[in-house]
Amino acid sequence: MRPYLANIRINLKLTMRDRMVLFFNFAFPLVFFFIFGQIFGRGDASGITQVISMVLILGVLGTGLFGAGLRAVQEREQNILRRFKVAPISAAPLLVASLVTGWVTYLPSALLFILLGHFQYGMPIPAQPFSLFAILSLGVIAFRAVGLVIASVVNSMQESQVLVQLLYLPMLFLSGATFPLGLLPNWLQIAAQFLPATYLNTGITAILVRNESLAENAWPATALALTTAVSMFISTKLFRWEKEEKISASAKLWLLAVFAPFAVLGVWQAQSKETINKSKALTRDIQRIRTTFIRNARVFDDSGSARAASLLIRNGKIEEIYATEPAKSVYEKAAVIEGAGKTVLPALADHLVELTDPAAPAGPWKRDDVRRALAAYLFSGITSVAVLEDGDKFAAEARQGERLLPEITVTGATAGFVRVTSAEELAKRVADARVIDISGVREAIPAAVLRDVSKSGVALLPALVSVEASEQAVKGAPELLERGLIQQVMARPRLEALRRLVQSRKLKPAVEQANLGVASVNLRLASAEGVRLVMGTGSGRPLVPHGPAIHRELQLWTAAGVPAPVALRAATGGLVLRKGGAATLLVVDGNPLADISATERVSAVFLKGERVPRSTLFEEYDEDAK
Amino acid sequence: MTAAAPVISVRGLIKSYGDFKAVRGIDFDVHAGEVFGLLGPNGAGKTTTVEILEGLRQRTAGDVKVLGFDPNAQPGALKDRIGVSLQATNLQDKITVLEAVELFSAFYSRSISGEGILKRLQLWEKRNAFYQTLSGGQKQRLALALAMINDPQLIFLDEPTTGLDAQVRLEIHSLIEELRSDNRTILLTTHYIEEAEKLCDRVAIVDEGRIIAMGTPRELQAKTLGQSRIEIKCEQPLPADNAPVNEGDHLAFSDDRRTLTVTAVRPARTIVDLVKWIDQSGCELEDIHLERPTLEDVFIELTGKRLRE
Repeated sequence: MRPYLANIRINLKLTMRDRMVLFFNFAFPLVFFFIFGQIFGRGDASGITQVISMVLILGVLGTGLFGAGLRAVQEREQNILRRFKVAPISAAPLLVASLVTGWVTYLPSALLFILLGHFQYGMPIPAQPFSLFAILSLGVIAFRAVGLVIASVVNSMQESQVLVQLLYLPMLFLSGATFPLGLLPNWLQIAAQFLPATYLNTGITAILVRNESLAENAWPATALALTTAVSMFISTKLFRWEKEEKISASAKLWLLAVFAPFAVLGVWQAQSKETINKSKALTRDIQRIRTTFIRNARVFDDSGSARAASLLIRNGKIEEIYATEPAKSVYEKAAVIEGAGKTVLPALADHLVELTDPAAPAGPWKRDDVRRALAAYLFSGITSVAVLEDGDKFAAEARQGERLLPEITVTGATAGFVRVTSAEELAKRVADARVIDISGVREAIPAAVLRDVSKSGVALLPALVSVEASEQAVKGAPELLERGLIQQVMARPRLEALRRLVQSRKLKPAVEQANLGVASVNLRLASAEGVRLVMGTGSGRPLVPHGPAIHRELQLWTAAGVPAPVALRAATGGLVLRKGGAATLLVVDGNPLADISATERVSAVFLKGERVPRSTLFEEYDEDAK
Repeated sequence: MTAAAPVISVRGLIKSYGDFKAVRGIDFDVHAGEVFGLLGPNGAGKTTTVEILEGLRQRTAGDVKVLGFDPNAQPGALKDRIGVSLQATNLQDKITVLEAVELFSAFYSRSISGEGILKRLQLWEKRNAFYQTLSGGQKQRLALALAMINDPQLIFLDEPTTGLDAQVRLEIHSLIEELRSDNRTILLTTHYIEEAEKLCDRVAIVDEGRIIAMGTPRELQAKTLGQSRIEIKCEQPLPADNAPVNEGDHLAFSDDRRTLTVTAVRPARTIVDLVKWIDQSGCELEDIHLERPTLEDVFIELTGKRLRE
């Protein structure tokens, strides 16, 4: 034990006296920290979290590869290790001392950056300090050990420099530490899965951003621990005390053995894409902790009216609603949206969606088509959809955050969702249903039936836009498609195909002998009887486009005589804007209480605090079309 | 010399690097309390031999026992008991003298006080100096301090004075003599004649991987064909005749006949004869000087080349 302690003690002292170490541990990441902090930090928690994880990884890579990789070679080249060779010690105390020294000298710099991030840029103090400490420790020790292997397979400083750079640069740029992994081309994303730094980065970010524990990052942690073990074994085996002892060039292949755990992980990840998806999700989470300030807007609140107010959004929540404009210091670090002339609503919800092609409901509908359709909801201000079936896999994607999708709930018979085609059927099903789709009802519903429905508490879903679309399909009049928002949202080829199909009258209507007039009266009467109403469009049915249909539905409701606040309340699925609530919002130009069509003029959409990038939302899916 | 087993015993030692034979069959013993020198030019195989004994290198063939250990098989136990000062070695630039001594003392199963040893080697004032600031002599003294930190009975000194100036070399010599007076066994390599003559009880002359001569410096000198030179000065001119001439001696008088130079095969006997003759002839002896052949002469004679070229 004594040789270990003595070596650790002296190694620490020597490291403290080494300016290069101070440079790589502190100065170099510090420069990065301030440059990137100025660019991305903007005092906003999301940017600074990314910058912090970048400098933390920079430190790990520097301490590990440069610190251990170069120093050990230097001591051999300068005949220092020779002196140790005549003492009765093995290589182990020297190697262990190097690991411990790297670890001890790294941690203060990590702490410094976290504190700087907190005090300078308002990054939250990590909620899982132990897990963060653990993953950073595992990381720095693993990379230190890799550095020692590099030292043991090279014959000169020059070789060591080359090898260190060869590992350092890709790990810095491909691990997601400097660029979000999601921005890289697909093949590079897969290549990144073979780099230990990728796992370290994902682990650090998950712990910093998602408050995950080490246990939830067991894979990266295990791989790092394995790397340490393999590296220590190899560097003990290959340890050389004298520069005259040369090693064959093929010994560099031992490095491959070090990365073996990551090769296995990489192959597995290339299949499962777990880490890729996780890092996309992390990028998402980072977006969601951004701070946004909406100044002086009209805010639609739970009273059903609109009042002037300002909103501060932080960490995915509405942090504060200000009745009068607050001091500038409150929002000086936030992205500001000028709210004059705009109305802020809870984001919309469409309670009846079928994940089918509105041009060919029975035809093939690829996964990416579905994803594009789901993105169209977000584009239109809808952040929550209830789908009839087949939504599970997309629901999971949306939940995990790997793609920006609306929240998806799956309804259907088991959830008490029923579709009826006559008043008589409606009267019968009231007993066992929770939500009844009455878009198929072509006759006036007797007031007595509506009273029963009202008493039962069952909700009716009129889907007037389905009825209107059916009328137009029969007439061969694609008027619905000419609406501005639909033009914006639907993929061009699909829009054309749908238009031709309607004009040729080959599109089978969803509601036979549809009568919008009757349906509108039924809705008005139901509303008057106090029946609970939910808004759904039946998007995916023939000629009912995914997304913007809900705006037409809102217009049809007010046209039918439903007051705008009631219609909006139904369209927002009971969400209210309140302090502390999720920042899932729709910002529109104009006042929908005065003119319901204002909802079509979407200005911004927020999903859990993340501003939906409306302009680029379809890029991923429309690449072929471009 | 004692009847006990030798401290170092080497038989038939061979070390090859590929086709090159650095050591080509060496035998010698070193006994307790002895200073044994390996003298030879650079590349003769001295360092290779020593490093095999220290457990640093594996031998190709032969039997080696150092303090009863086989350096190949028990390097750890051996290293714990010996002290070593290597030829080309360094410490970290920014380690201090005291730190170095304390670090190395932690490696041994027993060690003596670092303070004591630094004071003895006159390094105590320098204890907080970085290694990079030390002079060559101070570095060498620190190397000796490290070699003594485990209080070894056997010390290997590989070229302890190479590259040092004359003054510092003398300092190191007196330190080595001090070690000898502690009754420690020392194996020393050098290519300095004076060093071997001055410090060593016995010397092995090594060339091209072989020992070409071994014995006390005197024995080696005596074995040479080289002759001693006797120079005699008198107050008065010496008589012209009856000068005693032993077999193989050659006499030469100066012009004033006051100085006589004799090259002698057996100088002791010649001196006795000459002094008797001068006394009988009534002359007053002013000075007598004897110059013996050096190990350099021995080396030249054995190898046909000079030690340092």
